[in-house]
Amino acid sequence: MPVITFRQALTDTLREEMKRDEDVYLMGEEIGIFEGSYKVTAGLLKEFGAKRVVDTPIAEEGFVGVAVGSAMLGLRPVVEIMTINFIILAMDTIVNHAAKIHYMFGGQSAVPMVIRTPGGGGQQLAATHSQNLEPWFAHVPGLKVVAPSTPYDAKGLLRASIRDNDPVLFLENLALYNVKGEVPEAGSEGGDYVIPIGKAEIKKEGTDVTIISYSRMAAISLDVAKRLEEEEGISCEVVDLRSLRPLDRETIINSVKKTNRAVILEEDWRSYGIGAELAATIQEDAFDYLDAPVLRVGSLEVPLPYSKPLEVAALASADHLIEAIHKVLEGKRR
Amino acid sequence: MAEVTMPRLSDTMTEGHIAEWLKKEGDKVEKGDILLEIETDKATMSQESYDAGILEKIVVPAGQTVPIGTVIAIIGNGKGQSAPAAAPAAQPAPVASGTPKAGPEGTITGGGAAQPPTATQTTQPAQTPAPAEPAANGERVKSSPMARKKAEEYGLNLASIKGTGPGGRILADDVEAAKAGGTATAVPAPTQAPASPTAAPAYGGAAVTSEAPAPQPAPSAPSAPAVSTADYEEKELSRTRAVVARRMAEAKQQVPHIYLTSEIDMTEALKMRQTINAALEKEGSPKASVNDLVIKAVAKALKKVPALNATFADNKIRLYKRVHVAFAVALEDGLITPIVKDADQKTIGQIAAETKVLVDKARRGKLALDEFQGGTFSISNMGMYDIDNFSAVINQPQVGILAVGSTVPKVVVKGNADSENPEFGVIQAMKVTISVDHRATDGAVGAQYLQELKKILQNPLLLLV
Repeated sequence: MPVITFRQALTDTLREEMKRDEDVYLMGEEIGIFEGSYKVTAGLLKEFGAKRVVDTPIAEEGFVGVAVGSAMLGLRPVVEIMTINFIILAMDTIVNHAAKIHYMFGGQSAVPMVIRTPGGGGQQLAATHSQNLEPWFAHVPGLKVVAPSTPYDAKGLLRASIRDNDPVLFLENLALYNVKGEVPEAGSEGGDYVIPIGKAEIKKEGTDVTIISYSRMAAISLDVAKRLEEEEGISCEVVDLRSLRPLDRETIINSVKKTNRAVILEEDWRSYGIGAELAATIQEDAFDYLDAPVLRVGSLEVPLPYSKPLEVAALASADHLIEAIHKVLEGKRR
Repeated sequence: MAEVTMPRLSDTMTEGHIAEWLKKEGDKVEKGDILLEIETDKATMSQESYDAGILEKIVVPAGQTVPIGTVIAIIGNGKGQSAPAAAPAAQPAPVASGTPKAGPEGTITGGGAAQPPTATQTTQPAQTPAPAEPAANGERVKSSPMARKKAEEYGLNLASIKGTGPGGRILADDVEAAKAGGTATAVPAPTQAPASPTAAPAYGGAAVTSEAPAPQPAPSAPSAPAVSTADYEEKELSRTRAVVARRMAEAKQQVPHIYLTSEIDMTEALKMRQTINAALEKEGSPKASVNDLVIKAVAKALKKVPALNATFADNKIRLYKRVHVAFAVALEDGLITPIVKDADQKTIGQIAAETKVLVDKARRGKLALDEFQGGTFSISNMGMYDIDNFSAVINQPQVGILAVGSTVPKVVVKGNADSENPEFGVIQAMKVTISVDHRATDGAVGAQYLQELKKILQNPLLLLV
């Protein structure tokens, strides 16, 4: 099976979907001539032309609005927001239009659009360019939010998102673009798979503690889990959410019922973040199975510093996760 | 009389500085008159009076800074009778705020955060927090939900288990260790004895060999998983054993047992049994055991003394209209009590057939829930073990259980025992001991029951009519 990067999986999928369905078109800043700030759309302008790969001015509210309108009339836009930090400029059009039009128009118009955008920090892009704002969108009824952590999941979920008739926020991460993984070629055996939105995956089974995560942090969780098993004999079960809205509560609860302990690793800030929803769900539906409080590991609640050592200290990391796992296992007999 | 207190003039204000009094003691004050100027963290504000009267006393003069809520002046009727209250009488702190709220035996996570006072509430300098809810023995037991779930399942008392989690929290492993090591005590008896625990069968009153000591007291071994050494082998309790252990302990703790013994002459009954069995055999039906006869006799006697066909729970006695007799069957690791429903109305042949099926199902673990739950009276028969007499433990919530011993030939005095040449004869003597719940009934009723039972078994044709 070919091993490709996360980025490549995205590019391939965009190409395949645009070939499959001529209503699918791309819009975003620098995606055409410049081939994308992160090169996800490389080669696509050349292949599909300017009508289907549309360079926009720096006007998020504007072009997302255009996308919403075009989706209402039957097109299937895949909009790129250069980084999730700029999505704030398009909040009104996403939350008040994209999310609500289907409901408020009595079902007369769907909004089948995808907004692709990378979040996260660690590249010294400083406070206003390093955020994790996905909780804001996971909070909104009418939106779907997905967050793959591997090239395989990225392909399957992007397909699902483009084919979904609802507005989907497709969360990427700058540090994941170069991650490699096995992805079957389209058209090959098992190569046309679609990952359903709303299904988490257990990336590693375990018995001592459940680690719940998504996107880049899920990759880190998996690494930590493998290390802890080898070095300390701690058996972690890793749940990769893959979807934030809808959330696969069943997988989460079943895992915690099994291990009796849960630690959430998230890059966003803890307060009112994704982990807060997970912790509430767990204590509500698996209360009697908890042998320890649910712990959340998030980034420190500061605007992310530019200085490298400070940035490293402030971002949620493997070390923080390990610390939390030890804490939650305190007192448990081996 | 009205107290003028330092008001909260902004969200962030905690104390106010009295810049200037604009009225002096003795002045007449109308509602709305400006009383004083107060300097806050933000600005200097004029404070109006909310009351009308005479400014009797300025308690805090200008130039001083006091916390919000402090009494700074008194407005009265001018007669000077009102004296300022001593240090502000505590407005009772709302019990809910500030008290760490925890569920039953819950863990307290950090100190309860005091809720910020609302705009209309004045805070008092010394706020007495409401006392935390004490647990039954006066001390809160910290335990995780999983630990609690296990403790409940095993019938263990959390207070008797040592916790090794953070802050002494009892964890699931601690409960497991206590269960294996036998170091935990059983749950103190609740007033309601459930007819059956959650998924486990309602095991019957175990036959306790004559006056054997109560269930072993927990050994004070250090808590650890079952170990085997040269001196002993530790055995983990099976599900069955654990349930029996719990129910027996509960019955002995909660039920005031009284025991009444009677000796029954089974000579005629045994003869009749032979006759009946010859007939049953001819038609290919299962033969009747002595126990089957006893079941029928017990049922009929209950119809005569209905006070014992009852359960006691929640301080209520429930007298049942139908008679369902449970009888103990020994299993590999405990026992169970399958039920013959409406035993008073079934023929001996029917009872014999039924008990055969029930015993078989019991031994194979295939009894349905309603085949061992819902009995109104129990029988435990140790006759086959050559036990002449014993006392059984009541099968809660039933109020009575009959312990049947073995039938042995015995020489007795026939006729007048005082005569010069007393006659002797042989009877087939079977001792029965009834245990009854003294909360629900009395010895006299028990005695009356035994008399009826004896009458039936000694005139066994009564079993057929």
